[in-house]
Amino acid sequence: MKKLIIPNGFDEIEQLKNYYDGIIVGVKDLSINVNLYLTVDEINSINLDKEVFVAINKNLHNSDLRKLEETMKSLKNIKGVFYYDAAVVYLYEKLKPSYDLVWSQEHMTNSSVTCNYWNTKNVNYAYLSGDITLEEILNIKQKTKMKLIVPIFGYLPMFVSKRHLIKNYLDCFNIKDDSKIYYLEKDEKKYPTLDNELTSVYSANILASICAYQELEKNEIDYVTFNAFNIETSKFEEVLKIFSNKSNQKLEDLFLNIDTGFLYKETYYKVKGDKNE
Amino acid sequence: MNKPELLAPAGDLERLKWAIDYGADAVYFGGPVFGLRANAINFTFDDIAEAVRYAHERNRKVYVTVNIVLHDKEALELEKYLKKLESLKIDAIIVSDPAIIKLAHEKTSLEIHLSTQQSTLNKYAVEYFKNEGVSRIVLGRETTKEEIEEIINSTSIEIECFIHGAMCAGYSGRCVLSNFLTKRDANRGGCSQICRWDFKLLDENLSELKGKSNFSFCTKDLSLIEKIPEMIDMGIKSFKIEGRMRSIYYIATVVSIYRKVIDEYCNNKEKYAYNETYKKILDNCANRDSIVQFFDGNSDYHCQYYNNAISASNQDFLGVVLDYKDGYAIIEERNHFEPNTNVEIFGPKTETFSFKIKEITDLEGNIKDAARHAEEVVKIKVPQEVCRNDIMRLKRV
Repeated sequence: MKKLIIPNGFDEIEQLKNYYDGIIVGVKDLSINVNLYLTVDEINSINLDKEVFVAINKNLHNSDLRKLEETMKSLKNIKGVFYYDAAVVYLYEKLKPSYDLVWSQEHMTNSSVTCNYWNTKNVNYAYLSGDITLEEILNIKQKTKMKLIVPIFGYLPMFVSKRHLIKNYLDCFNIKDDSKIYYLEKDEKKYPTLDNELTSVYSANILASICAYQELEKNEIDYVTFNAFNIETSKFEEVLKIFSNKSNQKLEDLFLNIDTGFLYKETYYKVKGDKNE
Repeated sequence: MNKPELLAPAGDLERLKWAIDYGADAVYFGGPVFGLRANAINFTFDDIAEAVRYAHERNRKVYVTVNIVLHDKEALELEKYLKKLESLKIDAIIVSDPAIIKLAHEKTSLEIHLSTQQSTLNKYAVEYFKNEGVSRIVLGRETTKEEIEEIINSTSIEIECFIHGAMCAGYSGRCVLSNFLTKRDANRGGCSQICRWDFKLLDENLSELKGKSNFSFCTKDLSLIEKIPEMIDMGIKSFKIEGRMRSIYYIATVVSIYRKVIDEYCNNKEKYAYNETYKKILDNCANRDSIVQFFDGNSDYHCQYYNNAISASNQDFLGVVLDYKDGYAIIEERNHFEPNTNVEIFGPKTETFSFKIKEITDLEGNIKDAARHAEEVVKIKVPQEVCRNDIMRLKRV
């Protein structure tokens, strides 16, 4: 099982290179919820003996399409492109680039049925949602030929808006602040929040599960991701060592706010009034 | 001129009939499963059959939402469900998961509309889904007028846009606040509307940034009433009203107002003039501020709500007309009213008129000082003939 990291910068890419098999980076203006946003030239000049994936996972508007097409044409020597918007698949069919596509619709990558649909569109990878259970992940693995990528460590994205929600609040009440990151607090939990081109809100807790990692490995899941968002490099390095059995430290000693996300906890919804059932 | 479809929500069969009677060209609702309003009453198969009968007899259309984001365990029953919907002769399904599009295409002849949950915002994505056999796309609510125009000019597919109702704070499909904070899956119909909760906002040093109210994701509602003529000229095929959980009063009011505007403009474009009263009626009905949102490119703080209690229950809906005879209306009460109240009555065939209630009696003619109890039946004198299912509301504007 390969480890992909979502690094905060080139320093991390270099410093941590003994502990991962690939990286996920973004493209300026076309990506969201990654930590390093680069130009196409910068991506093409990455000199790394590892797999490089590029996230083009923003909700795309008409004004993004020219840059999207230029970017998809120009990317070289990369393993794959993570996509959210169907415009990427539309262009992929037209341009036929050499790299693969990774279905990465964040909270929608939940089923083998939809994996198999995208597989018919020449998409060979799926980055599964952080909102499904380990049991569901393993079930999907059995029912699809897609190579699966599963988040195993990091804050999980849980909200994206085109609105500048933090800026709007500060503007409304005439508050001056230029923090690089904010936190929304509710019931003593703090949700990291970015307001850059878009507003992104992340989980209060860090997903981290050695048990699930071992189970994924045993069931031949292809990749897992480690997201460095809002984590110091030294701690992130220790995390990678722990997951590689190169450290005796415990995750609980590094972080107070880790949990297992939805891996062992199913969400629910209610259907009322079904007299036909 | 191409007259657009007015598409209304229906939380149940009763509201579906009200929406149709008050002027909707088509209605949409969730079936027993696979919709995104799991906590609404939703329609049984018998209800759907009756809905289709009622709508088709009046030359209207019926769309059923199948816009859940699939998990494997839901997929098992899907084919059977789609075939059942086909047998009920609905006019289209509204879908977000592309695997459902494929299945519906392969196994049924159902017409397929792409849900706004897929957040389609650009012309290439529109073309992608057109090639998949979708006949209509409900655009994401983040699209501007210019973006919608560019999309329409680049495709032959039908485009549907929201014109009225509540807005999601985030991109549809990309908000799982509900999952994380309440374990209720927003993409399977369990949204618990965390966007309306208050949060403290902290800076990067964890110090509170405190305004006069706490932070909230909550946005004002959408209303494009003043933009309807532009939207008709743009060639948008269908105008969608949000609100499957809304009351019959809300449905009747909103549908009837948009019906008037569309008809007034399409019937005489040259003489059409925007009527500010319509907007006031809509605002009073929802008890929430509404604005044009992204249509004119705006998403600044004027679009947000930070004032905690943002809507109160609406007391304007006073009653429903059950009957009319010899200058008197029989009214079933919905909210308290008494003599000397200024009211107005409107209905599918009744042009809005206003008057002051002079006297209230029970059906035996005994004078009452007020109509106090829900569903209490009383009699009042009205200045003109009214019809069953006309609505009496407080006159505010």
